[in-house]
Amino acid sequence: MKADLKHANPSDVATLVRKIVGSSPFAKALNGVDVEASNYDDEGEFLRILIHFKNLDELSEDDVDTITSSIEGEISKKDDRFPSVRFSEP
Amino acid sequence: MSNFSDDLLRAAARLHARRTGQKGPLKSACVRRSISTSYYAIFHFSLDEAALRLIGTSNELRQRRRLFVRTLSHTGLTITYGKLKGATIEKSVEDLFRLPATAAGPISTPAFVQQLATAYLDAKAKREDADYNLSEPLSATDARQLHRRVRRAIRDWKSAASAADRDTKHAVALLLSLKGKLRDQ
Repeated sequence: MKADLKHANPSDVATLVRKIVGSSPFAKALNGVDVEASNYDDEGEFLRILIHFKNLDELSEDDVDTITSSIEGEISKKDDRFPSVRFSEP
Repeated sequence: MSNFSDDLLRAAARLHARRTGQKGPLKSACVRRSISTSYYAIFHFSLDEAALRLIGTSNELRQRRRLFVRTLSHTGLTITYGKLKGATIEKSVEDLFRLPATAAGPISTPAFVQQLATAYLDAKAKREDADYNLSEPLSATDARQLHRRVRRAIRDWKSAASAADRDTKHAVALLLSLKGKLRDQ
């Protein structure tokens, strides 16, 4: 890890993701968030952000894209690793 | 050059599409192959862009372009796009993107560059899980979202055509050819 890179605690990132989704129209469908740091096989790290929803069928393509861009925008302020957002099927 | 990246995007779409009357979750293999194929679409698009901008576009130069793209690597793309993913271009390479007679200081990353960089990094992260980490869950929603993202990033890159945009694209191509590093970093 380079000394000048911002790295947040994964549990703090998960809390922030829950807050972002929890304040969205999709709050009732949220069923949990998992965050862990991982490595690209060749260079650098990323954050694997897995969002569990009770029913993905309720989310439109626009909803998925909006949630993803909101999370990427907020996490990027706290952590220099790329936040890779995934959606868990129930 | 061929539209190989367009063909890959079409193949990815077929992998995550539901057939008429199909019910239940998509097979994991289809989801994972779709994600991997979307990754290779943006990877090959990046190689082609670098070759076309640095070598030239004429048919006679096809062999030279092919030789050139063999020198580019996944690692070089990851390093390059990691430096272009933020609101401003990473300081270590910002001088490459500074236009003549432009004052010193941070340089905003053009939206079409930031989109391509973040789409690549997302695709890279998901592709490694899709191909190698079968214990990491990936859904049909992930495959479709990545496909949309890569398609939009390529479309918006192609649409950026001002003189400043062309200069920026040339700088991105140069940085890709240098494996993301201007000096011994």
